[in-house]
Amino acid sequence: MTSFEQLTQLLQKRILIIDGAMGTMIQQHSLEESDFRGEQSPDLAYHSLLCNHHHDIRGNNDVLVLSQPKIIQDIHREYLAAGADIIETNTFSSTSIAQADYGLESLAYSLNKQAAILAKQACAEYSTTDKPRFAAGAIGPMNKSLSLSPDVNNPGYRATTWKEVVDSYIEQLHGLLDGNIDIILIETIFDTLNCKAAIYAVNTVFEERGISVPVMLSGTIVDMSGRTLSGQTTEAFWNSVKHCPNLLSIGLNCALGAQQMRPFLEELSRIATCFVSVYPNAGLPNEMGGYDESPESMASELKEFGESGFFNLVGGCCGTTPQHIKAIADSVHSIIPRSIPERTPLLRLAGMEPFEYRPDTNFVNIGERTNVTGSTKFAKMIRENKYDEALSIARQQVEAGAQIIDINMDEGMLDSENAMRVFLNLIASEPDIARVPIMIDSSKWSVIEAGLQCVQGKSIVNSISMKEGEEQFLYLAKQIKKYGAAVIVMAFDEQGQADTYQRKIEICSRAYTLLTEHVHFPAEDIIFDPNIFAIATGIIEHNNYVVDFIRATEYIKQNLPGAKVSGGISNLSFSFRGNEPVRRAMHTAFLYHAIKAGMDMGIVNAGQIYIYDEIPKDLLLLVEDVILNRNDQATERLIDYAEQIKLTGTSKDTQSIQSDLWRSLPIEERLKHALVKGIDAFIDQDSEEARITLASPLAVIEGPLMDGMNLVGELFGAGKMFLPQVVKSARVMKKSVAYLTPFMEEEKAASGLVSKPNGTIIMATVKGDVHDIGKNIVGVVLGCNNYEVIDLGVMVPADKILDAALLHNADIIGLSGLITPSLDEMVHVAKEMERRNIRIPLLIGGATTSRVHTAVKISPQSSGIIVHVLDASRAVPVAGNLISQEHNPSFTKEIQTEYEQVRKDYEFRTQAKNTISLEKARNNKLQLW
Amino acid sequence: MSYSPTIPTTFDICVFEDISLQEISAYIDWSPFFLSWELKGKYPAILHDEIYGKEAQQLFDDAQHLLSQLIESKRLKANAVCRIFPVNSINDDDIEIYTDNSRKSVLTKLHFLRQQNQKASNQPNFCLADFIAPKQSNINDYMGAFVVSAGHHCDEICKEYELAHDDYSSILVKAIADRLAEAAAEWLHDKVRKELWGYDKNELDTEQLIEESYQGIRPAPGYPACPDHTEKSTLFSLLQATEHTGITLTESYAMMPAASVSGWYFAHPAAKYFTIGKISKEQVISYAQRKNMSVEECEKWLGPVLAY
Ligand code: B12
Repeated sequence: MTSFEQLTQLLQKRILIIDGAMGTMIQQHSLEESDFRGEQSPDLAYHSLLCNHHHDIRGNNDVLVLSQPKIIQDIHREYLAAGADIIETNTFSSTSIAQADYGLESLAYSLNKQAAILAKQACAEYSTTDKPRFAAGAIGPMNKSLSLSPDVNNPGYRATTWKEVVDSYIEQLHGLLDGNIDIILIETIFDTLNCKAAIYAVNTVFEERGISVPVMLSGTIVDMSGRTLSGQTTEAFWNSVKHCPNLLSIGLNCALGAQQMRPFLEELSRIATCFVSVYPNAGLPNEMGGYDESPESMASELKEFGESGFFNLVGGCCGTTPQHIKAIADSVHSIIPRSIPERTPLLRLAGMEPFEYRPDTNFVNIGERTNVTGSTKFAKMIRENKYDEALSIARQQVEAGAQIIDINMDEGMLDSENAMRVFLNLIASEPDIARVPIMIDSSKWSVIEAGLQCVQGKSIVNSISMKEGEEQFLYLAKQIKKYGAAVIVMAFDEQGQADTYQRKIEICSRAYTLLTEHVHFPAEDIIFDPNIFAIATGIIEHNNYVVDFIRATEYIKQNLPGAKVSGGISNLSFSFRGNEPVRRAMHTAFLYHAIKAGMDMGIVNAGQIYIYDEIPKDLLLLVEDVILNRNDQATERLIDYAEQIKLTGTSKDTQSIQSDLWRSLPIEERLKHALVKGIDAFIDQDSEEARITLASPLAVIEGPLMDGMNLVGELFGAGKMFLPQVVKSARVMKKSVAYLTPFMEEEKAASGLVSKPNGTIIMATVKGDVHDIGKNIVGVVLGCNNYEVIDLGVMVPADKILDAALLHNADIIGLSGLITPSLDEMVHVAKEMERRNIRIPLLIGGATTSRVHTAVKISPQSSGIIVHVLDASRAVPVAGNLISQEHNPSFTKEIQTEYEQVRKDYEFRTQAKNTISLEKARNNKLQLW
Repeated sequence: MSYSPTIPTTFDICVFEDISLQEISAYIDWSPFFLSWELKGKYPAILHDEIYGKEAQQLFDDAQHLLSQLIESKRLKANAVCRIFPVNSINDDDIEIYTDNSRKSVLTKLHFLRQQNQKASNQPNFCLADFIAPKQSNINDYMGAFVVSAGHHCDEICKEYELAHDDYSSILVKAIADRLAEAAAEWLHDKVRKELWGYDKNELDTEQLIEESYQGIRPAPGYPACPDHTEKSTLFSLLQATEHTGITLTESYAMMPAASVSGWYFAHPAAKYFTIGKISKEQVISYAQRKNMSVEECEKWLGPVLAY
């Protein structure tokens, strides 16, 4: 039986106990420099080296395995006597990198081996058949981080490299394994990238030695925001490390006491498909940096976790002693251990936050503008080292809704490896970008590898193929698996790129078999790109390309379980370069059919698509004929049509192409068209005609006008229409309504019919502030979405705003402000709302406002819901969510949880915010004179 | 140490009424205009942007059209006032303004904040006062102040559009007025450098102006190098700005009309824009003392930059 099987059997039966703190126990001996050097014991190995060492080593607890072996072994014995099943070797800092602080890097191997021997001997003394004892080789996080810069002014800087970290861990592992440890325990992980380097080292050592030993992982959540120091949430952490070989358990330790760990442990126990461990500190540190939670109280808390089914292994970290371990062992003695949950294997990626691709997930849009081959603008920034601007492109992508961002640095003039490294390291310190997973895109393996060594999350490699044969393909696939990434496989083999259905499915099936059977690559992490080629090129062989792609997609989704399909779509319409309306129609129709066939994700430029239903019917017919290869003349006809557009269209203004055409549409369509395109030239005459045709002015508003506005709202929400257009559409709407209003008054008088808005919103720029562009834009956009907007103007005092809200029975109040003093005024308005018992939702917007300020300063003033809104596009969904009865409770709750989180993060950051003294700052002034 | 401050051509208050919009429109930086319409990108590249290009061009055409209407109708008015003063820095962070170049009597004092974040070695902790020669150096130094607006009658024009149910044009006019205000500030700064102060006579084109490739800066109270808006009241009284330009301050120190900008001129070649960042209570106490304001009140105005 392997030790993995043995441990698994035990863990199914009972909870196993891990030991407590080593450091706390060592401290009790009050050792001096001479004790650390082991001056009293001349017989010990390395005696003279340590005694003559040039550097103080007091405080280097790991060296005690050489200089005070008895003390260390006795501590092990105390924990074993207290009931620990697993004890940790005294090797938390026994890597060459961490030992370099004491100038003892050359001893790293020996420290590990000796520590392992001591722990194993102690285990042997206490092991019985009923209660075997195990020595776990403790591997700490190192004092140098791969994801964080030690220099706040230089966020792209790293104090060490992936290779140094991996090599250092490899050396440590060899020492531990030569000392025969039973388990590898990678613990106190605050930076997932360091952990991934350790996992990589474990993989390498297993390969080299032809063995495998169970591995336990244990992360550290540093504060109540529930994140690791490198910014990941619990679930993102799990997604990023679950590729670890021979993984026995995952868990949490250190930084927090048991009570504070509860929500994160609960989360982990829900998602981890291996055993779960927990070994908290004895409470939070007191003012003196000590820990004082008693054995009894800690044991009773952990007992409750155990009864809730949160863990399989339990022990203690900083501040815990054999008394704690005994109390814990006793309290969990009869608890039934957590059973490992069944989870459907899904593509689970991570940036700082998790990304799960579920069967009901919509098409995943991959951001493509951070690609030097696709965007000349981005390429120029990288070439000129304008990384700040390059970062803002990445940020825009994420803000615009990209769920994954593709990063490509393949350009002849660039040192692509370096550019990839620099850019990814910079991204790592931008939480609003780094929150999403990264797609590392290159045709060169060296660049991909450079990228994989910089991302803590679980990313996607784009791409590999069988172009250079099976051997190379398998080699790369193994490497990617070792790095823990998902992969895009191009339908490409030794003979070239797959262009027919048959070749596409043959290559994909072959790659799938190789990956799943030879490499044991998780099927859910495989994404095929069955090649989207240009069609309508005039070459008959090309006509069926899209049909082949779509059929291949269907085949893959039905026959290669777990695999996904992706592709870059702009190629498709290459023959129509320069003719955007036709290109867009082609992309849109293509996506419509490909997604139906099962295409999961793609590299799509949001600006290059329409809404399917929006494509003019005649164009759609032609385009679909071409895409689906439905008729021999399809290409010719589409080319004719395209030519015609070119001829009739006046230079750049494509709007006027169809200008005559749309005037002959039926009146309802005409109104809709005018609205969507923002053309107000005919609005009075069209409104009149519609009023006559539909026999009621209200019917015009609630019919074609609302339909048109809904479409505008939808397009704007989806990023397919931009603000100026929306405001122009609103102008058309307003003018039409103005024209119809007198008739409505008559109708109202006659029938009592009134149009009902979605809700009433009071808007105002607060007292003392004069800026109103932002507020006006938001007002217009909300108006477009059928809200009645009552705009009180600028410099509006709180009581006037609140009186108006009551008078109009408003559903929402919106405040705007440009300069910082307005922030205080907004706080005041919130206070007044509370005092006057007005509990309607409050929206906050304008240049100096922020989510953080809203969460920290405004929202605590009132028991109502207060939401910060970044821009006009976001104002609509927020208002919708707040007003609609169904969505309200969950939305409100979401916001409250989110803001609670923001407040915690803020508090955490302010605590960490260091300023130097004013005197010091003045002494360091700029000396010009 | 080869820099020595240029003595200004004039110490008088200079007032400019009804500045030619035609003339200042050449100084417009269009990029922020597109930003206010959520079209993110730099002008003129944005006109050819893959995503925004078409929309941006359309918007730009509309804006150009309206701008020429505004220039022609002469209804929108731009005014400005500025003045250069003899000054020296004192106690590290403050600046004394003298009534005249004999420097015998102090007209008023300006107060600035200093960065307090931990810096990398050889990076200083900046304060705007660093750009001014300290009193004890015995160097005669100078700085300037200005207020400009391009928003007079803007509200009237906008109202008219709104009555015609045309919010689009109303917002466009406001956005253009904002651009003209910034452009007027750029125009005035150019004039100051070349004539009124006369320390830098180089001719620059609009692009160079936008990239600020000239000597000296004009930080605005409220911007990151001097986040305290209350200093605007000193600025306004130094220039008798309301009297000369019709621009007023609200209780929160916002300027009316909205399309207005105010600020300081610093001429030292090493002067640059920076961000104060977060400051400690210690500095707030010192600042409050210097300004003769209570600590609580200071904290209220400096809320967003407090590190505590
Ligand atoms: C353009 C601009 C100007 C223009 C126009 C300003 C005006 N008319 O009021 C001009 C050049 C005149 C100007 C002047 C000043 N400015 Co200025 N300016 C900007 C700039 C670059 C863009 C602001 C803008 O118009 N954005 C476009 C509009 C459409 O966006 P918005 O107003 O933010 O509105 C959007 C959202 O916020 C939201 N929203 C807004 N309101 C609401 C309301 C609700 C209910 C909802 C749901 C949403 C919502 O939706 C809107 C549309 O998407 C910002 C910097 C920046 N990047 O934000 C600085 C900025 C706002 N200015 C600033 C300052 C300090 C000033 C001055 C005081 C400087 C000075 N001493 O002269 C003056 C003050 C002017 C005055 N009248 O008092 C500071 C304010 C910070 C602070 N510390 O107070 C900023 C943030 C610059 C900075 N980084 O320091 N400025």
